[in-house]
Amino acid sequence: MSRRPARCHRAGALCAWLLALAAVAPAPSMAEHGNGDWGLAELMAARAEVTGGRARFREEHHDELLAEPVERTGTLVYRAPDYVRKTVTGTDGRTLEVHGDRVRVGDGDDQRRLHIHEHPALAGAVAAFRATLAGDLATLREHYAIRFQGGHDDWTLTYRPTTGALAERLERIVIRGRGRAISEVETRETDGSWRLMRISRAGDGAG
Amino acid sequence: MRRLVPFVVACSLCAALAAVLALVLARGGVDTDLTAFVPTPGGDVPEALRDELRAGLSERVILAGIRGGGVADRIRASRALRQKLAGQPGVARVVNGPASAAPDGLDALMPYRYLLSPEVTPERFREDALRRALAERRRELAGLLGGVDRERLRADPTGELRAVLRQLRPEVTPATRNGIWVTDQEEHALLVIESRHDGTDLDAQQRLLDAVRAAFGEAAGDASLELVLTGQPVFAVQSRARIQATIARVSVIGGVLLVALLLWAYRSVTAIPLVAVPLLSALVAGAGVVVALFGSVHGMTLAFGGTLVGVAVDYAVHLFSHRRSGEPAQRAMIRIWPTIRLGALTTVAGYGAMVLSGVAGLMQLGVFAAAGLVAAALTTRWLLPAIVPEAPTRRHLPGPAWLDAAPPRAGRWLVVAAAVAGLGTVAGHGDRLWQDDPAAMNPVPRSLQEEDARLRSALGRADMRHLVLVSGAGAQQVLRRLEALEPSFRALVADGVVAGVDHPAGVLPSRATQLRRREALPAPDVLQRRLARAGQAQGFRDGAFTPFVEAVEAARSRDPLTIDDLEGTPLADLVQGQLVRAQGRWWGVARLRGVGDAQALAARLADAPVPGVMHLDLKAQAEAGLVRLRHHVLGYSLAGAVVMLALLGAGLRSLREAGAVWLPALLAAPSAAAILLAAGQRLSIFHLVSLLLVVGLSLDYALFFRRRGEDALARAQTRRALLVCGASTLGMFALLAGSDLSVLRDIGRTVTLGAALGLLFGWLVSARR
Repeated sequence: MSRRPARCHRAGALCAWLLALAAVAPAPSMAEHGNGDWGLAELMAARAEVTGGRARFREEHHDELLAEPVERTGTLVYRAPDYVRKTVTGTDGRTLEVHGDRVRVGDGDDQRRLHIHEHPALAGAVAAFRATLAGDLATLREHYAIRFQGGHDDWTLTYRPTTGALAERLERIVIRGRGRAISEVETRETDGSWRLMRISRAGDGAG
Repeated sequence: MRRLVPFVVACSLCAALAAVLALVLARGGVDTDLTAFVPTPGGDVPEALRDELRAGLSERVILAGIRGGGVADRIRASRALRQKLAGQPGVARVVNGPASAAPDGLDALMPYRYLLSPEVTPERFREDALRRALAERRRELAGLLGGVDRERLRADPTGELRAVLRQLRPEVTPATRNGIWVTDQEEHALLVIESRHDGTDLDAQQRLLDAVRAAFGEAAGDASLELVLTGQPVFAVQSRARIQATIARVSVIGGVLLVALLLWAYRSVTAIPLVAVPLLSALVAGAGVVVALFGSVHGMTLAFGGTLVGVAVDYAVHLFSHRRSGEPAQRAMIRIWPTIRLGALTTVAGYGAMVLSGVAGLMQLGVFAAAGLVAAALTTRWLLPAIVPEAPTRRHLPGPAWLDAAPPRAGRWLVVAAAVAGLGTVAGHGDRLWQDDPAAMNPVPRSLQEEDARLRSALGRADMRHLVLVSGAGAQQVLRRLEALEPSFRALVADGVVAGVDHPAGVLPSRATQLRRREALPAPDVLQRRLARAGQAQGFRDGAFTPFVEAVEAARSRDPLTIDDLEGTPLADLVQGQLVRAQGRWWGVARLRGVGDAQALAARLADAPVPGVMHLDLKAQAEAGLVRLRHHVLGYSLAGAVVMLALLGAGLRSLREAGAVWLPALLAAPSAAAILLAAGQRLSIFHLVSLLLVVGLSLDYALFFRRRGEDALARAQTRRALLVCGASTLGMFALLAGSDLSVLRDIGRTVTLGAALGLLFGWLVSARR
């Protein structure tokens, strides 16, 4: 990102021309800009102002290893800048908590602690989720190629993994939302498994 | 022109002697292994194992902390530094976070997981246990967003690889920020740099440290960051640099003072190189005989031995001082030779007593001092007179009139009173007498030691102090014994005696254990049946765990992993230095972390139900070694003192006369020690060796003070000779006393004090009745 404005500056005339073209032409698929005056930069800036929140979710999961699709419900908690917790309720209930680089899985006596950087794929998944919530574009770019579509009232973010271990397992993550709120996260894995998480707000910000 | 010849000859002689010394040292080699000086009770730990322990512990590890700037700067610099250092010739490994800390290629262990995992029992593969494991895997599938490793999950649903890795990972890990190790408050980013070179190869370590600093300079970029380096290689290199700098400073300043003193006293430039000839001869002979007898010379022998033969400087001074107008040097030499000979012989006998100690380092020291002093005396007698310029330029030596003053009549009683007070002070200090903590003698500055402790605790790398050694006829027996100790280790941890135990059987189980685990694995059809029911209950589709069934079947016929198979696997690194072959036996090394009460630990280990177990407290061993060394030095020095009296008696043909020389010389040592103690110091082995030099110097002073049968001129010459001897010694060692290195400071203070007292006592008893 840091090199882009510099290039713009050097080839200022060309950039101005392209921007003018973008303003008049209907170009909804233009990466990172979207249409109108709401783009990736604006979304990230808006997210960066969120200090935390709590939301409910409902997740539909089609896993190649499971005989039937699974439906899970639970809560998400976010505290800026680096704390997230996903709690699944019901029979398959369990908590996954990430704080900084440390991950805690399970509840009560049955807990496991691990370190995200010992598991590159986990680090990637955490980054997609947490860095989006925090509006941390630099971290996202470490793991993904990012594409932004739509505008303020209805935007779509698509992440395609660029690092080896992550790209082996994950095909893409698609996040949809309105304004600074996130409403859906769709994950597609390379073996055909996929899941769709719908987020409903239960406070300010997390979703 | 003719007057220049002796000067050139003397200078050439010095250069030749220095060259021979360098050659002898290069040929024989200088050891730095301190154990040569530490007497150990016979045969408990083989030498080879000691070497292995030292190499495996900390000698190659540099700890680095990056501070200053912002957190992001420090983390970026840590990444960049690791990148720049990785692959440099002197660097074995750079670790700056959990990702780089994990040994490479752990996947190679995957096929052995059912033999290595401590969790493997028949119960683990029953239907109910499988059902619980699969329920856990199903919950894991939920994840955060996805990205779960499905291949691993299918092949290892019971999580055995995870159980194996848990055995390998240290329990204490540093805090991290963005995958980079940091101290708890994040004010340092932390790295561990492993050198490829031996800890003793100081030049290589120096190059590595320079490379690290250069790489850091580039890695830091514009950020105002600071690099802190600690660890054994850093300490060793820094100490060497500081000692060299101090010696260089003392040599230059002391050299200038000495030259000025000699020019003032003798008005002769030739005197300057000539004074060095006996000393250099002593060093050459000492080092040469030690190399011939022992194969090499120890660094400590050189340092201590060089101190002890320092008295040789005085021999030439006496020759210059005692010449009369127009007298050939040879005749003056013949007059003073009996005194020099008696002094040298007595000192040789005194120091030589250490040869009987049986401790390699002390034997070397005794041989070095004895050979060196004999050579110095012989050189003075037979070589110096031939080189000394023809006629002395002055009739009388300069010097103030008080030099010729007679001592007070009560002189000897003053000496006795001072000595009684000194001995009383020493006795009164009882248990506050000795400094036996090796750390207190550490030449590393306290601030750097504190920095090291801070980084070490942040990295969870507490200094390895307590070890349990388990020996056996073969590697397998050692591993079985360690496994038999496992319940004792667990009890120690449970009772809070230790925080944790790492041992090689935790990484590489014995063959017997691996075979027992293999027996626990169910047949494929049995496993398949149980798995089908458990999988159905948890909603997994058919065939989801086929790789698991195949892996268990393969493990049922897999040969156990043994130490011979480890070559090239990550386990080789982990077991290295922990499972060692030495003197035809195998030794397992268990490392105990966080030991609170060392005595309780020793008591508990003494009851261990396994033969061949030995508890090793490295710090206590080092302390006990120092105490034994001190006892040896003290004991053999006292024995040497008795021999000295006997020799003096024979040489002076009067026991009374011998006593008058011997007592003040000997009493200068405790009196100097008393002053040091009164100033709040404790006496270390360095003080003790310095006191030996004090006795040697004082003996010569006393002998010359009491020379009989001479006229007034001779007595005046003797007084002036002793003034020059004393001034040169006091000047040199007073400069050392101003050093900021505790070891050199201790030596400097002790010899300065002791030599001054020796001169004073010698003068006080010089009056004859």
